[in-house]
Amino acid sequence: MEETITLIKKVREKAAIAANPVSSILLPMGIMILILSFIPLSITLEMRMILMVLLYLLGLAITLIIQKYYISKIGYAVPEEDRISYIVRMSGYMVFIFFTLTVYTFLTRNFQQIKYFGAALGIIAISVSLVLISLYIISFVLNTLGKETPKLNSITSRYSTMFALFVSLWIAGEFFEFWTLNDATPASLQLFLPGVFALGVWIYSNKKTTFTYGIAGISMMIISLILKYITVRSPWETHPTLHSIATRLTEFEPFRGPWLLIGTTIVILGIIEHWRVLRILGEIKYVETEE
Amino acid sequence: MSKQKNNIESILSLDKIIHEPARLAILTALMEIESSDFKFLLNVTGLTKGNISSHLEKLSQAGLITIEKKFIKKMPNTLISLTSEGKESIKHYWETIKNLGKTITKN
Repeated sequence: MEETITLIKKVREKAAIAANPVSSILLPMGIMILILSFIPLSITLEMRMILMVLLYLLGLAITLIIQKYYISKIGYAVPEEDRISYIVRMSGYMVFIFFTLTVYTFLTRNFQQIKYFGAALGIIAISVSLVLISLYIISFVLNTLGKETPKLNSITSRYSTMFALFVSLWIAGEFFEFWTLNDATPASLQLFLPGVFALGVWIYSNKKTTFTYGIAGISMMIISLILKYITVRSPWETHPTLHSIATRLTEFEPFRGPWLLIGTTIVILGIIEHWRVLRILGEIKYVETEE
Repeated sequence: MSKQKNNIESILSLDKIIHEPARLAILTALMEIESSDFKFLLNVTGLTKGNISSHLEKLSQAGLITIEKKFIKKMPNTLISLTSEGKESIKHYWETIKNLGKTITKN
Protein backbone atom coordinates (compact mmCIF):
# COMPACT_ATOMS: atom_id res chain seq x y z
CA MET A 1 0.00 0.00 0.00
CA GLU A 2 2.80 2.38 0.98
CA GLU A 3 4.58 1.66 -2.30
CA THR A 4 1.40 2.36 -4.24
CA ILE A 5 0.90 5.67 -2.43
CA THR A 6 4.50 6.74 -3.20
CA LEU A 7 3.94 5.82 -6.83
CA ILE A 8 0.65 7.69 -7.01
CA LYS A 9 2.29 10.73 -5.42
CA LYS A 10 4.83 10.66 -8.24
CA VAL A 11 2.05 10.38 -10.82
CA ARG A 12 0.36 13.40 -9.29
CA GLU A 13 3.56 15.46 -9.31
CA LYS A 14 4.28 14.38 -12.85
CA ALA A 15 0.80 15.38 -14.04
CA ALA A 16 1.10 18.79 -12.37
CA ILE A 17 4.49 19.56 -13.92
CA ALA A 18 3.85 18.00 -17.34
CA ALA A 19 0.45 19.68 -17.78
CA ASN A 20 1.94 23.09 -17.26
CA PRO A 21 5.43 23.23 -18.77
CA VAL A 22 6.36 26.77 -17.73
CA SER A 23 9.53 26.60 -19.83
CA SER A 24 7.40 27.20 -22.94
CA ILE A 25 6.84 30.71 -21.60
CA LEU A 26 10.06 31.24 -19.65
CA LEU A 27 12.43 30.46 -22.53
CA PRO A 28 10.98 32.90 -25.10
CA MET A 29 10.50 35.52 -22.39
CA GLY A 30 14.15 35.24 -21.33
CA ILE A 31 15.43 35.25 -24.93
CA MET A 32 13.36 38.36 -25.73
CA ILE A 33 14.69 40.24 -22.69
CA LEU A 34 18.25 39.14 -23.55
CA ILE A 35 18.01 40.41 -27.13
CA LEU A 36 16.30 43.58 -25.98
CA SER A 37 19.15 44.29 -23.59
CA PHE A 38 21.58 44.37 -26.52
CA ILE A 39 19.61 46.76 -28.73
CA PRO A 40 21.69 49.94 -28.59
CA LEU A 41 19.91 53.09 -27.52
CA SER A 42 21.56 54.99 -30.39
CA ILE A 43 19.78 53.24 -33.31
CA THR A 44 17.05 55.06 -35.22
CA LEU A 45 13.45 55.07 -34.08
CA GLU A 46 12.26 53.20 -37.21
CA MET A 47 14.88 50.53 -36.72
CA ARG A 48 13.83 50.09 -33.08
CA MET A 49 10.21 49.67 -34.07
CA ILE A 50 11.07 47.02 -36.67
CA LEU A 51 13.25 45.22 -34.13
CA MET A 52 10.47 45.28 -31.53
CA VAL A 53 7.97 43.73 -33.96
CA LEU A 54 10.50 41.10 -35.07
CA LEU A 55 11.34 40.33 -31.46
CA TYR A 56 7.70 39.91 -30.55
CA LEU A 57 7.14 37.55 -33.51
CA LEU A 58 10.27 35.61 -32.56
CA GLY A 59 9.02 35.18 -28.99
CA LEU A 60 5.64 34.02 -30.25
CA ALA A 61 7.25 31.55 -32.67
CA ILE A 62 9.52 30.09 -29.97
CA THR A 63 6.50 29.65 -27.65
CA LEU A 64 4.50 27.84 -30.34
CA ILE A 65 7.42 25.58 -31.31
CA ILE A 66 8.08 24.57 -27.67
CA GLN A 67 4.37 23.98 -27.03
CA LYS A 68 4.08 21.82 -30.17
CA TYR A 69 7.11 19.85 -29.04
CA TYR A 70 5.59 19.21 -25.61
CA ILE A 71 2.25 18.15 -27.10
CA SER A 72 3.97 15.65 -29.40
CA LYS A 73 6.15 14.34 -26.58
CA ILE A 74 3.82 14.37 -23.55
CA GLY A 75 0.34 14.68 -24.96
CA TYR A 76 -2.18 17.39 -24.34
CA ALA A 77 -3.63 18.45 -21.02
CA VAL A 78 -5.59 21.50 -20.00
CA PRO A 79 -4.09 22.63 -16.72
CA GLU A 80 -6.47 23.71 -14.02
CA GLU A 81 -6.50 27.47 -13.58
CA ASP A 82 -4.32 27.12 -10.53
CA ARG A 83 -1.96 29.54 -8.89
CA ILE A 84 1.01 28.54 -11.03
CA SER A 85 -0.64 29.02 -14.42
CA TYR A 86 -2.13 32.22 -13.06
CA ILE A 87 1.29 33.49 -12.03
CA VAL A 88 2.85 32.53 -15.35
CA ARG A 89 0.01 34.20 -17.25
CA MET A 90 0.34 37.34 -15.18
CA SER A 91 4.10 37.40 -15.75
CA GLY A 92 3.32 37.31 -19.47
CA TYR A 93 1.05 40.32 -19.07
CA MET A 94 3.77 42.13 -17.20
CA VAL A 95 6.25 41.59 -20.02
CA PHE A 96 3.58 42.90 -22.36
CA ILE A 97 3.22 46.04 -20.21
CA PHE A 98 6.98 46.62 -20.33
CA PHE A 99 6.99 46.13 -24.08
CA THR A 100 4.16 48.61 -24.54
CA LEU A 101 5.95 51.03 -22.30
CA THR A 102 9.23 50.64 -24.18
CA VAL A 103 7.50 51.12 -27.53
CA TYR A 104 5.75 54.15 -26.09
CA THR A 105 9.08 55.59 -24.93
CA PHE A 106 10.62 54.97 -28.33
CA LEU A 107 7.67 56.55 -30.10
CA THR A 108 7.25 59.65 -28.03
CA ARG A 109 10.75 60.19 -26.70
CA ASN A 110 8.94 62.46 -24.35
CA PHE A 111 10.38 61.69 -20.96
CA GLN A 112 8.13 64.15 -19.19
CA GLN A 113 5.09 62.29 -20.55
CA ILE A 114 6.47 58.84 -19.76
CA LYS A 115 7.21 60.01 -16.25
CA TYR A 116 3.51 60.65 -15.53
CA PHE A 117 2.36 57.58 -17.47
CA GLY A 118 4.74 55.40 -15.47
CA ALA A 119 3.75 56.95 -12.18
CA ALA A 120 0.05 56.47 -12.99
CA LEU A 121 0.55 52.76 -13.77
CA GLY A 122 2.65 52.32 -10.62
CA ILE A 123 -0.08 53.93 -8.50
CA ILE A 124 -2.78 51.71 -10.09
CA ALA A 125 -0.70 48.57 -9.41
CA ILE A 126 -0.10 49.50 -5.79
CA SER A 127 -3.78 50.50 -5.22
CA VAL A 128 -5.04 47.18 -6.61
CA SER A 129 -2.71 45.25 -4.35
CA LEU A 130 -3.71 47.36 -1.32
CA VAL A 131 -7.41 46.66 -2.01
CA LEU A 132 -6.67 42.92 -2.34
CA ILE A 133 -4.66 42.87 0.87
CA SER A 134 -7.44 44.71 2.77
CA LEU A 135 -10.07 42.28 1.42
CA TYR A 136 -7.83 39.39 2.39
CA ILE A 137 -7.53 40.67 5.97
CA ILE A 138 -11.36 41.17 6.15
CA SER A 139 -12.04 37.62 4.87
CA PHE A 140 -9.40 36.22 7.24
CA VAL A 141 -11.01 37.94 10.25
CA LEU A 142 -14.54 36.85 9.20
CA ASN A 143 -13.41 33.26 8.66
CA THR A 144 -11.70 33.23 12.06
CA LEU A 145 -14.98 34.42 13.60
CA GLY A 146 -16.70 31.46 11.97
CA LYS A 147 -18.43 33.27 9.12
CA GLU A 148 -18.12 31.67 5.69
CA THR A 149 -17.17 34.01 2.86
CA PRO A 150 -16.65 31.81 -0.23
CA LYS A 151 -16.95 34.64 -2.78
CA LEU A 152 -14.54 36.87 -0.91
CA ASN A 153 -12.15 33.95 -0.46
CA SER A 154 -12.08 33.20 -4.16
CA ILE A 155 -11.18 36.82 -4.95
CA THR A 156 -8.62 37.13 -2.20
CA SER A 157 -6.84 33.81 -2.22
CA ARG A 158 -3.53 33.99 -0.42
CA TYR A 159 -1.71 33.47 -3.68
CA SER A 160 -3.36 36.17 -5.74
CA THR A 161 -2.90 38.63 -2.88
CA MET A 162 0.76 37.83 -2.45
CA PHE A 163 1.21 37.86 -6.19
CA ALA A 164 -0.36 41.31 -6.44
CA LEU A 165 2.01 42.52 -3.77
CA PHE A 166 5.08 41.23 -5.58
CA VAL A 167 3.91 42.58 -8.93
CA SER A 168 3.38 45.96 -7.32
CA LEU A 169 6.87 45.85 -5.86
CA TRP A 170 8.33 45.05 -9.23
CA ILE A 171 6.29 47.59 -11.16
CA ALA A 172 6.93 50.24 -8.52
CA GLY A 173 10.69 49.56 -8.84
CA GLU A 174 10.53 49.79 -12.63
CA PHE A 175 8.57 53.02 -12.60
CA PHE A 176 10.78 54.50 -9.97
CA GLU A 177 13.39 54.49 -12.71
CA PHE A 178 11.11 56.40 -15.08
CA TRP A 179 10.14 58.78 -12.34
CA THR A 180 13.65 59.64 -11.22
CA LEU A 181 15.10 59.23 -14.73
CA ASN A 182 18.18 58.06 -12.92
CA ASP A 183 19.88 55.09 -14.53
CA ALA A 184 22.27 54.37 -11.69
CA THR A 185 19.82 54.09 -8.77
CA PRO A 186 17.52 51.25 -9.78
CA ALA A 187 20.09 49.02 -11.49
CA SER A 188 20.51 46.64 -8.57
CA LEU A 189 16.92 47.31 -7.48
CA GLN A 190 15.76 46.06 -10.89
CA LEU A 191 17.38 42.77 -10.14
CA PHE A 192 16.49 42.65 -6.45
CA LEU A 193 12.72 43.13 -6.83
CA PRO A 194 12.19 40.38 -9.44
CA GLY A 195 14.26 38.24 -7.08
CA VAL A 196 11.83 38.98 -4.24
CA PHE A 197 8.97 38.19 -6.62
CA ALA A 198 10.43 34.85 -7.71
CA LEU A 199 11.18 33.87 -4.12
CA GLY A 200 7.65 34.84 -3.10
CA VAL A 201 6.15 32.69 -5.85
CA TRP A 202 8.12 29.75 -4.53
CA ILE A 203 7.21 30.32 -0.88
CA TYR A 204 3.50 30.86 -1.51
CA SER A 205 2.83 28.18 -4.11
CA ASN A 206 3.42 24.49 -4.59
CA LYS A 207 7.11 24.23 -3.67
CA LYS A 208 7.72 21.10 -5.72
CA THR A 209 6.52 22.60 -8.98
CA THR A 210 8.13 26.00 -8.49
CA PHE A 211 11.46 25.22 -6.89
CA THR A 212 13.38 26.83 -9.78
CA TYR A 213 11.67 30.13 -8.92
CA GLY A 214 13.08 29.85 -5.42
CA ILE A 215 16.61 29.23 -6.70
CA ALA A 216 16.30 32.10 -9.19
CA GLY A 217 14.89 34.44 -6.55
CA ILE A 218 17.66 33.79 -4.05
CA SER A 219 20.41 34.04 -6.71
CA MET A 220 19.02 37.29 -8.16
CA MET A 221 18.83 38.86 -4.72
CA ILE A 222 22.36 37.75 -3.84
CA ILE A 223 23.78 38.96 -7.19
CA SER A 224 22.06 42.34 -6.82
CA LEU A 225 23.46 42.77 -3.30
CA ILE A 226 26.98 41.81 -4.47
CA LEU A 227 26.70 44.26 -7.38
CA LYS A 228 25.51 46.98 -5.08
CA TYR A 229 28.34 46.25 -2.63
CA ILE A 230 31.00 46.41 -5.37
CA THR A 231 29.67 49.42 -7.26
CA VAL A 232 29.30 51.71 -4.27
CA ARG A 233 32.95 51.16 -3.42
CA SER A 234 35.92 52.57 -5.31
CA PRO A 235 37.81 50.22 -7.73
CA TRP A 236 40.84 49.93 -5.45
CA GLU A 237 38.68 48.97 -2.50
CA THR A 238 37.48 45.83 -4.30
CA HIS A 239 39.29 44.84 -7.50
CA PRO A 240 39.63 46.96 -10.68
CA THR A 241 38.42 44.22 -13.08
CA LEU A 242 35.62 43.11 -10.78
CA HIS A 243 34.58 46.72 -10.28
CA SER A 244 34.55 47.34 -14.02
CA ILE A 245 32.39 44.22 -14.67
CA ALA A 246 29.97 45.12 -11.87
CA THR A 247 29.68 48.69 -13.11
CA ARG A 248 29.04 47.43 -16.65
CA LEU A 249 26.28 45.15 -15.41
CA THR A 250 24.49 47.92 -13.55
CA GLU A 251 24.74 50.42 -16.39
CA PHE A 252 22.41 50.86 -19.34
CA GLU A 253 25.10 51.58 -21.93
CA PRO A 254 26.39 49.98 -24.17
CA PHE A 255 23.86 47.31 -23.15
CA ARG A 256 21.25 47.25 -20.40
CA GLY A 257 23.11 45.39 -17.68
CA PRO A 258 20.21 44.52 -15.34
CA TRP A 259 18.08 43.34 -18.28
CA LEU A 260 20.94 41.13 -19.39
CA LEU A 261 21.09 39.52 -15.95
CA ILE A 262 17.30 39.10 -15.69
CA GLY A 263 17.15 37.64 -19.24
CA THR A 264 19.99 35.20 -18.48
CA THR A 265 18.31 34.10 -15.23
CA ILE A 266 14.96 33.51 -16.96
CA VAL A 267 16.64 31.51 -19.76
CA ILE A 268 18.50 29.36 -17.20
CA LEU A 269 15.22 28.91 -15.32
CA GLY A 270 13.50 27.81 -18.55
CA ILE A 271 16.25 25.29 -19.31
CA ILE A 272 16.04 23.83 -15.77
CA GLU A 273 12.24 23.56 -16.05
CA HIS A 274 12.57 21.90 -19.46
CA TRP A 275 15.06 19.40 -18.05
CA ARG A 276 12.69 18.64 -15.14
CA VAL A 277 9.78 17.89 -17.48
CA LEU A 278 11.92 15.55 -19.57
CA ARG A 279 13.40 13.89 -16.48
CA ILE A 280 10.07 13.12 -14.81
CA LEU A 281 8.72 11.68 -18.06
CA GLY A 282 11.03 8.70 -17.79
CA GLU A 283 10.45 8.21 -14.06
CA ILE A 284 7.32 6.03 -13.93
CA LYS A 285 7.38 3.02 -16.16
CA TYR A 286 4.57 0.85 -14.98
CA VAL A 287 1.80 0.94 -12.44
CA GLU A 288 1.09 -2.55 -11.17
CA THR A 289 -2.48 -3.56 -11.62
CA GLU A 290 -4.53 -6.53 -10.54
CA GLU A 291 -7.96 -7.36 -11.85
CA MET B 1 -11.00 -1.92 20.34
CA SER B 2 -13.70 0.39 18.95
CA LYS B 3 -11.03 2.51 17.21
CA GLN B 4 -9.69 -0.65 15.59
CA LYS B 5 -13.21 -1.57 14.52
CA ASN B 6 -13.67 1.89 13.03
CA ASN B 7 -10.42 1.57 11.09
CA ILE B 8 -11.46 -1.79 9.67
CA GLU B 9 -14.84 -0.35 8.73
CA SER B 10 -13.12 2.59 7.01
CA ILE B 11 -10.89 0.20 5.04
CA LEU B 12 -13.86 -1.93 4.03
CA SER B 13 -15.88 1.11 3.01
CA LEU B 14 -13.20 2.27 0.53
CA ASP B 15 -14.60 2.44 -2.99
CA LYS B 16 -13.24 -0.62 -4.82
CA ILE B 17 -13.48 1.15 -8.17
CA ILE B 18 -11.12 3.88 -6.93
CA HIS B 19 -8.91 1.72 -4.70
CA GLU B 20 -7.39 -0.28 -7.58
CA PRO B 21 -3.82 1.18 -8.14
CA ALA B 22 -4.07 1.87 -11.89
CA ARG B 23 -7.46 3.57 -11.59
CA LEU B 24 -6.23 5.46 -8.55
CA ALA B 25 -3.27 6.70 -10.61
CA ILE B 26 -5.59 7.83 -13.43
CA LEU B 27 -7.99 9.63 -11.08
CA THR B 28 -5.17 11.29 -9.10
CA ALA B 29 -3.51 12.52 -12.30
CA LEU B 30 -6.86 13.93 -13.45
CA MET B 31 -7.21 15.72 -10.10
CA GLU B 32 -4.33 17.99 -11.10
CA ILE B 33 -5.77 19.04 -14.43
CA GLU B 34 -9.01 20.09 -16.04
CA SER B 35 -8.84 17.55 -18.87
CA SER B 36 -6.27 15.58 -20.82
CA ASP B 37 -5.92 13.47 -23.91
CA PHE B 38 -5.19 9.73 -23.95
CA LYS B 39 -1.47 10.21 -24.67
CA PHE B 40 -0.97 12.45 -21.67
CA LEU B 41 -2.54 9.87 -19.34
CA LEU B 42 -0.38 7.15 -20.91
CA ASN B 43 2.72 9.20 -20.21
CA VAL B 44 1.97 10.22 -16.65
CA THR B 45 0.66 6.87 -15.43
CA GLY B 46 3.01 4.59 -17.35
CA LEU B 47 0.18 2.16 -18.12
CA THR B 48 -0.16 0.27 -21.41
CA LYS B 49 -2.75 1.34 -24.01
CA GLY B 50 -5.00 -1.68 -23.52
CA ASN B 51 -4.81 -1.47 -19.77
CA ILE B 52 -5.65 2.21 -19.64
CA SER B 53 -8.56 1.75 -22.07
CA SER B 54 -10.23 -0.89 -19.93
CA HIS B 55 -9.76 1.16 -16.74
CA LEU B 56 -11.13 4.29 -18.39
CA GLU B 57 -14.19 2.33 -19.49
CA LYS B 58 -14.82 1.16 -15.92
CA LEU B 59 -14.36 4.63 -14.50
CA SER B 60 -16.70 6.06 -17.09
CA GLN B 61 -19.35 3.43 -16.32
CA ALA B 62 -19.07 4.33 -12.63
CA GLY B 63 -19.75 7.97 -13.57
CA LEU B 64 -16.39 9.18 -12.25
CA ILE B 65 -15.02 10.47 -15.56
CA THR B 66 -16.30 11.69 -18.92
CA ILE B 67 -14.75 10.54 -22.18
CA GLU B 68 -15.19 12.79 -25.18
CA LYS B 69 -14.13 11.38 -28.54
CA LYS B 70 -13.53 13.67 -31.52
CA PHE B 71 -11.34 14.15 -34.59
CA ILE B 72 -8.59 16.77 -34.87
CA LYS B 73 -7.29 17.03 -38.47
CA LYS B 74 -8.72 13.57 -39.23
CA MET B 75 -6.85 12.12 -36.24
CA PRO B 76 -8.90 10.57 -33.42
CA ASN B 77 -8.63 12.44 -30.14
CA THR B 78 -9.95 11.34 -26.76
CA LEU B 79 -10.43 13.95 -24.07
CA ILE B 80 -10.83 12.71 -20.50
CA SER B 81 -11.94 14.70 -17.47
CA LEU B 82 -13.29 14.07 -13.97
CA THR B 83 -17.01 14.49 -13.35
CA SER B 84 -18.06 16.46 -10.27
CA GLU B 85 -18.88 13.11 -8.64
CA GLY B 86 -15.41 11.86 -9.59
CA LYS B 87 -13.78 14.94 -8.07
CA GLU B 88 -15.67 14.46 -4.81
CA SER B 89 -15.00 10.71 -4.66
CA ILE B 90 -11.25 10.92 -5.21
CA LYS B 91 -10.98 13.78 -2.73
CA HIS B 92 -12.96 11.77 -0.17
CA TYR B 93 -10.81 8.69 -0.84
CA TRP B 94 -7.53 10.52 -0.13
CA GLU B 95 -9.00 12.13 2.98
CA THR B 96 -10.02 8.69 4.31
CA ILE B 97 -6.56 7.26 3.57
CA LYS B 98 -4.91 10.24 5.25
CA ASN B 99 -7.06 9.92 8.39
CA LEU B 100 -6.56 6.16 8.48
CA GLY B 101 -2.80 6.65 8.28
CA LYS B 102 -2.94 9.10 11.18
CA THR B 103 -5.00 6.88 13.51
CA ILE B 104 -2.99 3.75 12.69
CA THR B 105 0.31 5.52 13.43
CA LYS B 106 -1.09 6.88 16.72
CA ASN B 107 -2.23 3.42 17.80
